Amino acid sequence: MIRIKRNLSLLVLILLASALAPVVHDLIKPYRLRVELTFRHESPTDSEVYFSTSRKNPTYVRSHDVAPFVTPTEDRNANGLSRLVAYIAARKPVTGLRLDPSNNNNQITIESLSVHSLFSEGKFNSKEIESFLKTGEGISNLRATDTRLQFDTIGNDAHFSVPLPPEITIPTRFEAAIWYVVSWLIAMGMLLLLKISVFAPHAKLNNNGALPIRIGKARIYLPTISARIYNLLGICLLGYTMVQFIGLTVGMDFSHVQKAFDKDRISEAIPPEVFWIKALVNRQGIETFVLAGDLGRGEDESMVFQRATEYLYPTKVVAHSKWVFARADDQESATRPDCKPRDRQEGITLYACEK
Amino acid sequence: MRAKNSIDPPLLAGLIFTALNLLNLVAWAFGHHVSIGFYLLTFGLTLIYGIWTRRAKLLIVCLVLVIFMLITLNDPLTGWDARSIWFFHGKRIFLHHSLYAPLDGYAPWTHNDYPILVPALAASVAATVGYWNEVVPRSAEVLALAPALFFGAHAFRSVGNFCVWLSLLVYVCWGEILGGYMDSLIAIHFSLAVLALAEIYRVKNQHPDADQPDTTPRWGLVLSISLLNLLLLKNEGLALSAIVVVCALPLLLKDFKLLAMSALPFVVFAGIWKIPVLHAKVSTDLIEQGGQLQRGLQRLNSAGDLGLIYDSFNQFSHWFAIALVCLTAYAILKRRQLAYLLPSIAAILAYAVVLIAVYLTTFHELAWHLSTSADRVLLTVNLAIGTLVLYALAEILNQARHSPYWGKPTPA
Repeated sequence: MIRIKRNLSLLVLILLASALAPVVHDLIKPYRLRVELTFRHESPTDSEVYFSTSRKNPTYVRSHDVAPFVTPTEDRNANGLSRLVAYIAARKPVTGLRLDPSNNNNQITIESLSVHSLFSEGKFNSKEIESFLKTGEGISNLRATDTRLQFDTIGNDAHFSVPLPPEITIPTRFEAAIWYVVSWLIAMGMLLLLKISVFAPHAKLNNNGALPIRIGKARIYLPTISARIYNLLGICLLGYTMVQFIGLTVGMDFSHVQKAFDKDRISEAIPPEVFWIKALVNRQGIETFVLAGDLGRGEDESMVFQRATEYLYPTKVVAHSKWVFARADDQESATRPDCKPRDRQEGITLYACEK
Repeated sequence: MRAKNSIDPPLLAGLIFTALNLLNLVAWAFGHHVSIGFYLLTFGLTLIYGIWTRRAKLLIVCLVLVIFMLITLNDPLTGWDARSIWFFHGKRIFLHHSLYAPLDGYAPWTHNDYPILVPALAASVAATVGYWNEVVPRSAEVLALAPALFFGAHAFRSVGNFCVWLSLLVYVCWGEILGGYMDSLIAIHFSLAVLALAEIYRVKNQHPDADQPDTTPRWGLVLSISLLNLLLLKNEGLALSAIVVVCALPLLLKDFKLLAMSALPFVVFAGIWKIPVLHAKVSTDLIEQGGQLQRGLQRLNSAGDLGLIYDSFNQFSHWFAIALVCLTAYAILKRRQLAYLLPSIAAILAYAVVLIAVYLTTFHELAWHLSTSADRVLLTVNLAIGTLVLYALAEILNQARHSPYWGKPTPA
């Protein structure tokens, strides 16, 4: 009788854990991706990335399947392009993406789009991206240059869908099985804890590492894992987490570390306009300056203004400085009678102004 | 949580790193800095000690720090606030050889009143290598993270629990932890503070005859250092510290030592940073704008605004909120054993209320403010909940392990 009750109790726990495992699986969202988009955008923070887990329709997205931590770099590389990085955590394999590049009328240039999972990556060439854009909504005036695609966004919901290739979307059976086993173990652990705390708050593990619990008149022994195995599982979890973290943040590529101590290791973080201003500052020995037109628009909204403030420091932005930097095609600065052009570096002209 | 009363090596390592951070701030106040060599020496000694004595948790922390360091040295900073606020302040401290360089009134949009623990560390990294570039000062993030990880190693007794906590930390803080923002550091220190709070309550409430040493002093130390870090990391830290202290008040009023340990961080923070900031008449834009009450009342009456806040909180903290509800219900049901969790739960809930109040009264457009900050500020709530749940589970098992009913039938 005792044996039957003991087995029944264990069976109930196993069944409950099996029922709970899918919930745990959904909770830990094991399928993770990093999406990288290199593009030119006036306000990259407006961009949003949604994802689909539908196998039948990879272009179908739900409003809450949006990637948190969308981090546009807000800084441009030497070609004037920004990089947007979005991390996605999903409970099922991600089958497609929806990119909302802008929520108003805008002109956008895309250079590259890639999707990285832990062990694989998918890069889309410009023809593929062009085909995605053609089927998008709120997108017009699409034109292709050498390696880039330019288009205009219209309205507040411009978007295009990107179905992902199988090497990204289809996890191996081994990977899927691992995640279900992990979820089942977590569920079982939670149930055991619950059982211990509710039914046996005073019980202690016996010499065999089993937990004695009294149910009715029967005393059963629940098998528990030893501390060593638990520690080992914890280390495995941390190891997997770190591998995933490294894989999705730097793509397992630490080759740039050797350049960390280079004094000019800045090329990816600063807009080209600020580089050009820096060259002029060094050449003319300028200590204060003002940015004209859209370069200095607003106090904290213009990316060039922000990067110029911190990157050019200790050269300061001062409202009434005689030195004015303007875009080379800025007619307003060029026609001001009190300002005379003093120097030029690529797309930036330096003016000396009287007022 | 610990059986012996001797100092735990991870706790000692955390204390030394904290002391170096504090010394660095004081040194910059006088135009000097602590060389990064001292940090490397501490790290090296910790690593050697960990290998020598085979202490898994020390080795795990060292390994994680090395990985984080390599990641930070791999790429320049790109985050908006990271560049425009935190590391810009670091650059100014480095170039002007003064902790108070940001208080000169230049570029007020960079929030010159923000605390300077990490900027001062970044300045020290630059001072050690002799120049400022866009990559090396980033390693200040890892130096700031080091004491928190060592304190975490002290807090979780088993290697398994510590590894689960570290995994939780990485998963929760994912895109932010090495992004040059302070939110992850705030989240970790707040989590440690609520954990210390729970542990002190547990020890204080245990039976006087219980065969366990009084670990209040060392947990008081963890609490005190967590408060200090919260205060010196970001302005939100002041609200978080005040919440923790209020939740600890019943304890503090009975224990003068604990009261002193909790008050000291505020004194240090005021002396090193807040008083000079007030003297320089630099304040935050959130307070400067005024009209908070009126805006708050307007938004409270707007279903759309409340819905926006709810959607954001639901999006980023859905499962954590459910976990907190379960934990709270369980702690109330089993209050004889788990009442010590309730002050920590209250602290987390209080901070969530503060966040809601901030969004209700913000002078920014609400949708914009939520979309640019909710994911970051809710890290604090999420990680604190996860940490407390893990701690509670560990304690429940611990109670089972230390029961006197060894091999005997369970009492009815």
